Amino acid sequence: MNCDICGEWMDEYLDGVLPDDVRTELESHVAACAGCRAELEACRRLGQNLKQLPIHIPPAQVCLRVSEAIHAETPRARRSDFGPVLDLDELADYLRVDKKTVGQYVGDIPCFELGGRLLFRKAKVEEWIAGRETVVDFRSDWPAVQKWNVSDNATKGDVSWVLAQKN
Amino acid sequence: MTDMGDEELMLQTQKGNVHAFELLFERYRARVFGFILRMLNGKRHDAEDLMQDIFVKLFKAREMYEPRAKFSTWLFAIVRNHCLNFVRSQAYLQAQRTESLDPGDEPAAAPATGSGRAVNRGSDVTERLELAIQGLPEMYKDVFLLRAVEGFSHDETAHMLGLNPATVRTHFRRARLMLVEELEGRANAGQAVEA
Ligand SMILES: [Zn+2]
Repeated sequence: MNCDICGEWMDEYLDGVLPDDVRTELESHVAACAGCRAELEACRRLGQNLKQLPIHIPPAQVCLRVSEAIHAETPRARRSDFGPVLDLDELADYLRVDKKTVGQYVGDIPCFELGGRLLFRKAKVEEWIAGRETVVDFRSDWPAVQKWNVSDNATKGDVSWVLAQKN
Repeated sequence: MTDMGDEELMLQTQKGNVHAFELLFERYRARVFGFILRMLNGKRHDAEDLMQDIFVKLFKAREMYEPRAKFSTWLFAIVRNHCLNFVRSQAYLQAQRTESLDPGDEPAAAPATGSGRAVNRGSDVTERLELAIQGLPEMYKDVFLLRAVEGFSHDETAHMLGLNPATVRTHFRRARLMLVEELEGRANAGQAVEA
């Protein structure tokens, strides 16, 4: 083993991860070489000092901003369990459209107001949907579907296409 | 979920669990922030911005993570690339400014509050070591930080940097010798024993 190789394996020697044969070779080189002995000691001291390096905690506002940003990145999962009465958010999820779209149909969809909140009975919403339903043969009538600007989801049993009929 | 391994948390993140990613952030925030600070020579304000930027990008790129890869090596490889891009773009901007501005014009100074210093406190030696690490040449600095400060093996470091392990060993030793020389003087780097 020469001095360069010896120097390059020193940190792993100190970490105790060298295979036995390399370790033995390194030890016998160090025993015979004052330069490498000094380097090994310096390496050891540096290792001790490195353990004293401060830990840098990022400021709380950075952590907060990261948290906010990743939450903003995440589309909220649509709810799938609904009680008999829905609020506007739940109605949007129930109809699988966004809240803005639902907003355009408020007044058309049966609703009632309670404590300043607009609420919808699920049964009434279903009736309302039934009143608007049309039988569409998706396979033979694609142009009509496109005319209604129906999303792909409509073919998967989604009700959002019903709302799109108005356009 | 707190007892889950990093890789499992990353898989959960890919399934849309934001909380899993927040746990990973919690686990790595200090290490990553320290790494960025050192790569950016202690410029705290820039380090904070970059930290936020990187973690948001990591989250957006969550699908890119291959479950077979060790999370920490994936993470630090990305962090290091962002730091390097940042440092190089700053150096480029600085060069542009120096070229184009009147001699009297100061280049944009680092923000005043506590910037430019990475060190919380600590002994004289640790402070000098911190500054000495920050002062390492670019080609040795990331090798040294990943290997000696973050504790990755030579092989992992090589893999993260796209270098071969022999090069990493050489760079690492050079960095180490430079630091010892900086802290203890040339005599102690590889010859004489402690005075
Ligand atoms: Zn030797």
